[in-house]
Formats: sequence, C-alpha cells, structure tokens
Amino acid sequence: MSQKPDIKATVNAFFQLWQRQVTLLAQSPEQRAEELVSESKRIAEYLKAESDRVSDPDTGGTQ
Amino acid sequence: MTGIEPSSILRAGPRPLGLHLSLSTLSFGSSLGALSLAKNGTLAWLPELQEEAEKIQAQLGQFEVAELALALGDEGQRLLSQMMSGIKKYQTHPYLRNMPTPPTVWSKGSMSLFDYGGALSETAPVVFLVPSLINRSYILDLMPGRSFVAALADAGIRPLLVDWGTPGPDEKEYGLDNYLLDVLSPALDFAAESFPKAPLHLAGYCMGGTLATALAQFKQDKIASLITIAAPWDFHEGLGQSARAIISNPVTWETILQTYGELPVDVIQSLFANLDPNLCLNKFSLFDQMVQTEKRAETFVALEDWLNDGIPLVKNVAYSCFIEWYGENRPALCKWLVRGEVINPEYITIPSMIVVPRSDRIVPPGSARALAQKIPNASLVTPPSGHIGMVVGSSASKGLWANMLQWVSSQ
Repeated sequence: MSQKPDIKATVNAFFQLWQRQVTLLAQSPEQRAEELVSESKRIAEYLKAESDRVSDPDTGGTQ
Repeated sequence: MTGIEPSSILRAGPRPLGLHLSLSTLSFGSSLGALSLAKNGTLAWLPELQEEAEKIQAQLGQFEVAELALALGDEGQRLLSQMMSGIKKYQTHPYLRNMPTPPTVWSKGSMSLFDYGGALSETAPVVFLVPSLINRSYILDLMPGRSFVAALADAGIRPLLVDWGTPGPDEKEYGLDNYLLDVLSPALDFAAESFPKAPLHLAGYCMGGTLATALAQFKQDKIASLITIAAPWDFHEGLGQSARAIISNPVTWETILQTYGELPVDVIQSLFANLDPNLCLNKFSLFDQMVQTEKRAETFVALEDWLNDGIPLVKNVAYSCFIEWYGENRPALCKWLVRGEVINPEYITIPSMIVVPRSDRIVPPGSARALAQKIPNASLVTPPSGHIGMVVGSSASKGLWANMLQWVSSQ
C-alpha cells in the first residue's frame, strides 16, 4: 500500500502545473487562446453549478 | 534582516502594477476553480502536460476537495504575500545604475549617438548599434560585467550606440520614414565619414533590427555588414488570427493615440505583461527570497528598472507598427514602403548575420528567422537564450557577444 502524499507538496505541484498551462496558453497562437477562454468558461460554469447546488434548499442547501 | 535600510527611493514598478497584481491573483484564483476538475480528471490539460497531470491527479485523488482547497489557499496566500513583499523590496531597493555616460558624437532632436570606443584607433571596426524605439539603449550597457558595448570595446571594436531619448516636440509627428531617413541615415553617414578607414557594421536589436534592415537597403555602399539581433520581420509568425485582429484593430489604437497623443509606456508594458500572466508572481516571490545585498539582487533590480523605464512611441510610428506591421505584415510581404521605396531584404547583398535566440518569448523565433530566409547568403546564428538574456544574461559572453566578435573579426 502506497503512503499518502504530503498535501502541501501535492497542491504545490498542481499549482505549478496550472501556472505552466496558463503561461503556455497565453503565449500560444489563437487556437490555444481560444482553449484558454473555453476552459475559463468551463471552470466558471462548474463553479456556478457547485454554488447553485450548495445554496439550493431542495438539495440540502448550506444550512 | 537584509542589511539594507529602506531607502528614499520609491519605484512605481513593476509597470503597470495594477495589471501585474490582477494577473497574479487571477492565476491563483483560477487554480482554485480548476482544482476539482483536475482531481476528477475532467480538466482539459494541454497535451504536453497530460502525463504530469495524470500523476498529480492520482495524488489529488487521495484527499478531499475541501482539504485540498484549504491547502491550495494557504499556498496561494504564501506566494502572493512573498510577491507583495518582493515588490516592496524592489520598490525601495537602494541600487541605482551608475555607469559613465559616453561622449555624444552626433545628435538630432532627442536622439544622441554615443561613442563607446574611447581611445581605440581610427581603423578599429565600428559597430553602429540601433536599439528598439520603445526601450532605453542602456540595456546594452546595463552594469559592469553585463555590458555588451563594453565587451565590444574591450575586444577592439568601436560601438556607436543610438540612444533615442524621449520623443520631444521634434519627433511628435515623426513616422518610421523620418526615423530612418532623417535621423538614422545622417547618423550613419556621420559614422562613415568620421572613421573612413574602419569597416562599418550596422547592427539592430529587436525593433532596431527591423529598422536597420531597411536602412541597410539604402546604405549598402557604406557598410561592411548587417547584423540583426532578434529582429521581427514576419509579424504573422507565431501570432494567431484572433490576436492579430485585436492587435491590428485601428479603432483600438486610434482611441488610445487620440487620447494620449502617443502610445504610453504602460500600454506597451501591458502587451508584454500578457505574454506571461505568472511572471510577476514568480519573479517577485523569488526576489523576496534573495539576500538583498548580493549581486544577484542588484542585477535583478537593474534589469527590472530598465524594463520599467520604457519610451512612449509616437503616434504615427505606433500606428505603422500595429496596423502595417502586425496587421498587414507589410515587411514580410515586401509591401513596406519607406518614402516610396519598397523594402525588400532580397536586395541586400552585403554579408549579413541574423541572430535568433532560441527561447525568445517576445519576438517569435520564426518571425526573426524570416530575415535569414530572405537575405541572400545570410548567416543564421541561434544563441541558446532568450530575448533579453541574450544581451545581459550570465551566459551572454559565450553566446551573442562571442558570435558578434567572431563575425566582425571575420569580415
């Protein structure tokens, strides 16, 4: 059984990879810029859906 | 304790500060949003990052989203705090560039021609250096040990450096034609007349290389060779259609140029800031960790000061750059006219060295390489560095500087 990784190192590695993704997309020609926009939209939609789900009283709400 | 007392110096950079802070915060904020998607494997990573993303996904899978978000929040807060501390240390760092100003041997309006050749003989090869119109020339003489012009002079080559100064009343209505034929051309004539026994090489860095290419076409009879250093030529290389449409939208630039009467430094800096939204966060967090009295910290401040000390671009030139160069790609299509004459690198028959740094993020290598493909028998040189590191980096002496010395001595 593998040992559970260190959470700080894990989020650090994730954040560094995310930064590389953002930088590469920002420096790339059009297609990648469009991917960046589309990814941002997806993240925004996901967050909105999460927010709606959490605050919706019919699905458990926040209280 | 750093050993350095906060000084009375207060810099405004990195410019534009608001944009840099927004981009850094945005980069971190978006990572929080992407965390859940990365954990459940639905985030669309770029293909080159996919393998690493899968490994990280496996690690993320061992934690709950809430605890990951908390840990990421802590990490982001730490980085943003370091960045803010780094910016504060930069803004009050006591370093000030203190390099001697060389003699001015020719001037017109705001432009001065500096002679770094000192006591070199009249037969010493001359390199007439043209920097970009939007940056100060002192990047080529930044500090002791990091001075391209000093390296040339030490090797027996006389650098004559064009210093554009800040556009004044004389230049407000200038176009590219004026800069080329009313300023650079007579300055080059002066250099040729002053050192008639010396071979005269024309070199241009960045946008200065684009200008030098056009000037070379007019002055081939007076120069021994042309050297372009990271000079953009094919402006559509590495630029997508959307980016091109945004950059070359006349309405955008007309609004800015009518409002300010020129292209302000902060607008130019914004274009560069957008090339890497993480740059400010990463470099100032790193600077925060440096021992402030060390040479490394001074070099950082010297370079950052130069980056923030840009030159506004006069309106006609700004319009030409964005509409005719980036929008219509006139240079690469041989449609760039200078006072009625088509600029075509194929007409340049003197020896030419085209320098294209391998990891240039400011001028796409393909854009600069286009000149090597058009100028007959041009020599292509590709130092293993970036756009700025090539001229002032710790390995500059083994790259560009060595290439330059070898080229001039072999002509």
